[in-house]
Amino acid sequence: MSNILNHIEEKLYRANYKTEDNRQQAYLSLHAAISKNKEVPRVYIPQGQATVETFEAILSHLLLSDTNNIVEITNKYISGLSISTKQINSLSFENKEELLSLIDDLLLNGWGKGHIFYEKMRLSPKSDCHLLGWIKTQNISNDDKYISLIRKLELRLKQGIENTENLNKVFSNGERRYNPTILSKSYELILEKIWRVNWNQNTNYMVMLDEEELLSKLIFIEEI
Amino acid sequence: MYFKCKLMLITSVLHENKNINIEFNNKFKFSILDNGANLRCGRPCIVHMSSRNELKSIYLLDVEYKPFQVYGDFDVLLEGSVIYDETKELINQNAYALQFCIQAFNVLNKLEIEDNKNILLNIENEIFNFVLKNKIGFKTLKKFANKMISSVDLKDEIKARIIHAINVAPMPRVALNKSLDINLDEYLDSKIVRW
Repeated sequence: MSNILNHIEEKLYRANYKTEDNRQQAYLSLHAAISKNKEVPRVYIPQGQATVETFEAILSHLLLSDTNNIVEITNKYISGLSISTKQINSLSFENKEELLSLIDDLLLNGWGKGHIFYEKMRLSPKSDCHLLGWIKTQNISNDDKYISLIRKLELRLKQGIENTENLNKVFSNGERRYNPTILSKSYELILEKIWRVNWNQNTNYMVMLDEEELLSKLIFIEEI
Repeated sequence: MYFKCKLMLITSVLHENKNINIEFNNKFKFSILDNGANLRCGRPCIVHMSSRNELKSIYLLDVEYKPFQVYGDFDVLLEGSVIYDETKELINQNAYALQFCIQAFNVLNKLEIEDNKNILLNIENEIFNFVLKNKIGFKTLKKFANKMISSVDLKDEIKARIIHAINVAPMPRVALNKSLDINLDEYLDSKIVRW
């Protein structure tokens, strides 16, 4: 095993972060950096009911992600471990695989026992959103403070799905199976654009907390 | 044993009674029974022909660039085929046609597309038909495309917008070096050969 791997393992073992959230995110950052060309993990959620902070962070992410306000924390956690992506990339394939399984084990079976979301973490006009599904499973989602926001998100998702139905109506279902025509692609882009413009207006939802405070709570890793 | 197939572009489609006269980029022409398959100019397809040049199978590509059979009884891709990419000579022309269509439709709004869907699909078809069959430069093609659009049955204001969009269309430099995508995940015994 290379010296770099030993170094990373030691750092991971010591996990020089103060809170548990930070430690989990450090592991996830490393996971994302290693599996850059594969399925990149996006967010880690510990098992059971989430804390208010985690819940609000995820809710605010869903509210803001389509407004180009995504905060990319990127290398913050990696640099906290005193390693660089260059060092990670220099590991051999076998070592990377070994490290990945170590992190998976820690997050999914160790103290974390949580769930890693790999994709569909944003509301998009095309597909269902797993994170919104997760939000609704949380007891805290029944709080009056959040109900209207969750309804807005559901409406936003519903309108996105209606767009797909609209597209199928104009360019029939059968035709969608084919490699689409340029016209149907253009039409699809227009629908998406309308959807985004509509939901990017801040008047469409009430921001529950100060925006800066919200953004600082985002614990997501977009890209390393 | 491997079957031999070709990846080609449809350059002409003509509906005649219950038949479709179809032409590919290497001048192969066939007349087949219209079975409802959406054959359109510019669509990439995989074609299998017998040694006597008889058309045996046609595959079109779906939204994920995966081939699916629209003509013929025997699934040669499933049995294992070598697909030779014969679109290389037309990559430039295909990129030009794509660029014209993208630019033309980008200036339209939702309602305009819905109201004029059939005319616009026809324009797309005509553009691909003309551009793929005539190996002439980007600027000259713009003139021909605009001439064709002037003659279609659309509102003058819409036509003017489309013509302007094509006039100012930039050269699609990236697409000029890009070969056609094809996804053979469902046909693991078949391979594509590019040259």
